[in-house]
Amino acid sequence: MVDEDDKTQRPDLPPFMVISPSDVEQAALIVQRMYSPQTDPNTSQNLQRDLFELQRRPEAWGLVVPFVNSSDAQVQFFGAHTAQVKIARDWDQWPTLHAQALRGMLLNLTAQAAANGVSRVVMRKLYVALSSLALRLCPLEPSLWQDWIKDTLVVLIATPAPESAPDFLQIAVEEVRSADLLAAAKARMQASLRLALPFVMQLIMGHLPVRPDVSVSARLAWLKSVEAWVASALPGDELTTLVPVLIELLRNRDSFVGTCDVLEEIMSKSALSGGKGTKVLTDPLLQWIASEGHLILQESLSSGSPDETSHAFCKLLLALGDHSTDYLVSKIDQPLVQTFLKVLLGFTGFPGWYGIDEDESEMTLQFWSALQDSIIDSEFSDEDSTAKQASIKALDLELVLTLVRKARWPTVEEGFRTWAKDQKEKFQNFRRDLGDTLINTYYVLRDDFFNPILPTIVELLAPGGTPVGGWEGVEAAIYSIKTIQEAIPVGPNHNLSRVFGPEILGKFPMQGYDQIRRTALDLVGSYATWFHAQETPELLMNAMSYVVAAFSEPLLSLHAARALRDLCENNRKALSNHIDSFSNLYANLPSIPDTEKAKVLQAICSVIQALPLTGAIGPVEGVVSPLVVSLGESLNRAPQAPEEARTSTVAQLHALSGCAKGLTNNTDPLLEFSTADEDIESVRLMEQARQDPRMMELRNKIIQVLTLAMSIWSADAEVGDAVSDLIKAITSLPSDNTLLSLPPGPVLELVCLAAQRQTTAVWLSLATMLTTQLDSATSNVSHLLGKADKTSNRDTDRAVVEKATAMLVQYTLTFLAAPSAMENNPDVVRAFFTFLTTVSTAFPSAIVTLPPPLASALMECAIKGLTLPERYSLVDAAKFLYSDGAKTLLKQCGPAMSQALLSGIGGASPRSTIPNLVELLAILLAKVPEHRTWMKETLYSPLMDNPRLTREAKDKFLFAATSSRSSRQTSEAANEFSLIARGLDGSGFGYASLPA
Amino acid sequence: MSICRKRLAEERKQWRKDHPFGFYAKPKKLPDGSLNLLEWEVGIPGKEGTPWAGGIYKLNMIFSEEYPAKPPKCKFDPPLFHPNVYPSGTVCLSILDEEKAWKPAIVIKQILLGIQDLLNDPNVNDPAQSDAYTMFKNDRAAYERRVRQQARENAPR
Repeated sequence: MVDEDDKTQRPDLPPFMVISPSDVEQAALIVQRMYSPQTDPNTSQNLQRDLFELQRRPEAWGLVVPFVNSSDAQVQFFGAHTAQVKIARDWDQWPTLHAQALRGMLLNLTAQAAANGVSRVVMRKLYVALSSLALRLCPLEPSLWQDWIKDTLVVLIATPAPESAPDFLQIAVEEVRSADLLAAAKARMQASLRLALPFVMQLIMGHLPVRPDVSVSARLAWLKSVEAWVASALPGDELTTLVPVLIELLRNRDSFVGTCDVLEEIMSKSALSGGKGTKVLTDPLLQWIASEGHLILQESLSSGSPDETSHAFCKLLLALGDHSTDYLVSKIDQPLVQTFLKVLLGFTGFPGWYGIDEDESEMTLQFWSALQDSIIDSEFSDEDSTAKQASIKALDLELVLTLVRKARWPTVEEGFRTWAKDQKEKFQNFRRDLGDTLINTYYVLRDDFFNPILPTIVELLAPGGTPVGGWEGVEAAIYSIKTIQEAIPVGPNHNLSRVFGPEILGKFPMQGYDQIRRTALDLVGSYATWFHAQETPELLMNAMSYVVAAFSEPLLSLHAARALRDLCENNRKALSNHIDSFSNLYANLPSIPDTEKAKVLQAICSVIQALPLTGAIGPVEGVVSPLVVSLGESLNRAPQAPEEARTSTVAQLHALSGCAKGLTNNTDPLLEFSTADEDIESVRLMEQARQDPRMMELRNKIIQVLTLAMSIWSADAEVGDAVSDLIKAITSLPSDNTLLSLPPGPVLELVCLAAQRQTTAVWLSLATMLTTQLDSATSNVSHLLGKADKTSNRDTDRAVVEKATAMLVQYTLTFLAAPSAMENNPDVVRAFFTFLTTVSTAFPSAIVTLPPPLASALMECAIKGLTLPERYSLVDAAKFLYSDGAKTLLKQCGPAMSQALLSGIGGASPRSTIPNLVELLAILLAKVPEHRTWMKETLYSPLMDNPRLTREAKDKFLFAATSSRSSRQTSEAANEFSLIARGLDGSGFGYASLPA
Repeated sequence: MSICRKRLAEERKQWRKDHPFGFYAKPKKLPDGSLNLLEWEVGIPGKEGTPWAGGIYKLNMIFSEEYPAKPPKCKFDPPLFHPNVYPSGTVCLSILDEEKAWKPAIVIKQILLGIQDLLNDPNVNDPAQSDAYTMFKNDRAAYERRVRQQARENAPR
C-alpha cells in the first residue's frame, strides 16, 4: 500500500524524515482503521487520540512523504494534513538548516501527487501546507521564499489537473489573509503577493475568456481564485484590466453565477468598492444590463419563477446598486439608470408571493431604502433638478403600486389556508420591511403617495358588498397607509379624510372578514393623534363606531380595545362632548373579555377626565362604584370559592387600575401651555371636587376593598402584582391628583401590613413611592394652596412615615437575617436601601427616632451591604449611609464601618463603586472626628493585608485623608490608594478609567 | 462625518444587508425624511418555544456622540415587565454597561440578540424592577402567565 521506493526521499533532509517502512505501515493501518465504517465510535475516538499523539512527535515529519504517496485516499489526506500541522504548529522541531530542503520536498511531493491524480481535497490540503510553509519562510530576513506563489504555480500548471493552479491561488491568498502575523511579517507576505501579480494576472487573463481548451469547471475554478484575490491582493489597475473581461464573460451562462460572484466581490470589497470606478465598472454594467442583462428578468418572468441565473442577476443588480447608489441618484433621469431601476423594480414586483414563489422581492427592499436615503441627502443643481425630481417621483409612484401589490395576502382560493405558520410569519415580516420602504417613498411623494392607492380602493369598493377578488387587495392598500403613519404630519389631510370617511372606512365590513377588520382597527388606532387635529368630530365618531362594533367579535377584541384606548386617550376633549354615546359601550362591558376590560374602562375614563370636574363626578361614580361593589362581592366569596374569587379579584383590580389610569391627565406639555397660576387654580379645583361626598365615599370604599384584598392575598403573586399596579395608578403626587387618587398615608399603612406577611421588593418599592408622595404632599401642594395647617399635615405625615419605617426596618432586617439572605435577595437589599435613602432625605427623623437596638441592627446591615459583591446593592447601601438621617447614626458603628469602607477602597469592591465609598469616607472624615482614629486602626491592622499596600502607601493615604481640607482632596487620596491596591498606580489605563 | 455617525451609517448598511429573522432596526427620521442616526427604533421578537413568543417588543436605542466608545442606552417602549428592565424601560445588561462587558466592537445585531436572550433568561444578580423580579423569584408559573399575556399585548400589528 505505501510506496517504499520513494523518489521524494532526499539526503539533504534531516534524519528523522526517514522512518522505517514497518512504522509507516503501522501508522497507515491506524489511519485506515480510524476511518473505517466498521470501527465502532469509541475505538475510532481512541485511535484518533493515538494519531494526534503520534502527529505531535518529531518522527511524524517522516510520515508526510510516504503517506501522500500512498494509494489510500484517507492515508494521503492524513499525510497532507500532517505536513500542514507540523509546519503550522511544530515548526520549532524542524532544523533551520533544512528549511530550503523542506520547500523542495513539498513542491516535488505536490507535483507528484497532482501527476498521480490525487483527489482535489488532498491537493487542497497540500496547498494549505505550502502556504503555511511560505508563511514561515517568506517573512524571514533575508526571505527564504519570496517567490513562493510563482514557484508553486510553475509546478502546478505543468500538471494535468486543470483546477490545481486556481485552487492553489485561492488558498494561498486566503491563508495569507487569515494568518495572524506581526505587521512587518504581514507586509512581507503582501509584498510576495505583489511580486507574483504579473504572473498571476497573466494566468488569469489567459484562462477567463471562453476558449475551447479551458473547460467550464476550470473557468469556474479560476473565477473562484479571482474572487479570493479581489478583496486583498488586486490593486485598482489590475481590477480595471479585469472588469471588462468579466463583463464580457457575463454573456456566458455556464459561468454566469461565478462571474456575478466576482463582480459582486469587486463592487463590495475591492479597491473599487464604495462607488469607485464608475467609468470602468458602473457605466459598462449599466450598458450591459440595458442591452442584454434585462433579458434574464424577461426569461424568468416568462418561465414564471426565478432560477439560479436570475437570482444571481438580481444579486448583481443589488451589488451595483449598493456600490453606486449616489452615482445612480446623480444620473437618475438618464435612460441607462432608468432601465436599471425598472429591471430592479421588476424583481421587487416579481409575480407571486414572497417566500412561496420567489425570494427576490425582499432582497431588493434594502436597495430602495438606500436609494431613498441617498435621494434625501442629495442636492441637485437648479438646471437638472426638475427632470430628476420628476424621475424620482415617477419611480416612487411605480414603487408604491408595486409594493402595495406585493403586500397582498392570498385569498382562500389562492391557497391562504395551505400556508404553514412559519410561511405566514415570514410574509408578515416581509410586509413590515416593505412598510419601511413605503415610508421612504412618502417623504418624496407626500400627498401624492395616496394617488395610486385611493382610486384603487374606491374602485374596488364601488360595487358595494365584497370587492371583486376579495378584501385582500383593499387590506393591502390600507395596511400600506398604516405603515406611513409616523411620517404624516398632524393636521388637515384630505386623503386621510377620504380614508376615514364614508367613501372608504364607511364601506368596510362590520361582520366577518377578520383580516381586513383587524387591519382597519390597527389603522384607526395608529392615526389616533391625527383625529385630534381635525376641525369637526364626524370622522372621529365614524372611527369610534367602527371600533366599538368590533367588540362583538372575540378575535378582534384585542385590536378593538387597543384602538379604542388610543382614540380616547388622544381625543379626550372632542369625545367628552359625546359622553352619552359611551353608555352603550359601557352597557356591553360584561360581554367584553376580561383581558380587554381594563383597556375599555381606561378609554372611557380618559374621556370622563376631560369633562368639567363637576360633570365628571357622576360618571366616575357610575363607572367605578359597580366595580368596587363587584370586587367586594368577589372578596366575600373567598372563603367558599377561593380560586374563583381570586381570579375575579385579579380581573377587577386590573379593571380598577384601568379606570385610575384613564382618569390621569395625559396633557402633552408641548401641546398644552398653562401658567403657574392656572396650575394652582386647577389643583385647587381638583381638591374642591375631591371633597364631594360621593367621591370621598368612593375612595373610602376602594381603601376598604383594597385592605380586604391585601389581607387575604397579599402573598399571592398575581394579586400582589395587580395590587402593585393599582397602587401605582391610583396614587400620585398631589399636583397630579385625580378624583380617584387615594391618600398616600393609609395606603402606606396597607403596604406595611403586606410587607409584614411577606417582605418583598414590591412592597418596599411602593413604600418608597408613597413616602415621596407624602413628602411632596406637605412640601408642595400645601404651599401652592397656602394652607394654614401645613405644619400639622407635615407632623401627621411624619408620624405615618416614622411608624412605617420602624415596621419596614423590623420586617426587612428579620428577612435579611437568614443565612446568605442578603446575597440571595439583591432585589430586597436594593429596594430596602432605596427606601431608607428616600426616608432619610425626606423625613430624617424617621431614621433618627428608630429604637436604638433596631438602629444598631440597621447600621450593621448597611455595613454588611458595603461588603456585598453585587455592585448595585453596595452602591445603594453606601448612598443610604451618607444620607441625612443616617449620618447621625454613623458614630455608633465606627470601627466596623471603617473596616468595610477601607477594605472596599483597598481592593475588595469593584472599581465602579469607589466614588460611592469615597463619598462616604469624605463625610465620615468631615462629620465624625473619631473616624480618624478608626481609620488608623483599620489601615494598620492585619485585615488590610494586601501586599501592594505598603506601609509607605498607607502612611501617605492616612496623612492625605486626615489633613484634607476638602472632599475633593480626600477623593484624590482615596482614588490614588484604590489604584495602588489594584496595581494600577502609574498606569495610563488606571487614571484614564477612574470612575466618574 | 464623526466616528460615531460613520459607524452608525455602516451599522445601518450592514443591518439592511443581513439581520436576524423577525427583528427590525431603523434610525428614526426627521420630518424632512432625513435620518437621525443617534436614535433607532428596533423590534425584538420573543423566542419560539418560550412564553415570550408571539410578541415583538419595541425598544429605542439612544446613541451618544461617544459611541462606540460608550454603549447605547436601550429602552423598551412601553416599559417591559422583566426582572432586568427598569421601570423606565431601560435594559440592564452587562454588554450595555461600559463598566462591565461593553466593547466598541459589539454591533447592533449582537446587542439585539443579547437582549432577546435576556428575555427568557433573566440575570438574577441584576434586579432592575421589583414587580417582575419578585414574581420571577416567588412564583414562576404566575410569572410565565404574565409574560404570555404581555406577549399577546405586543403581537405585531
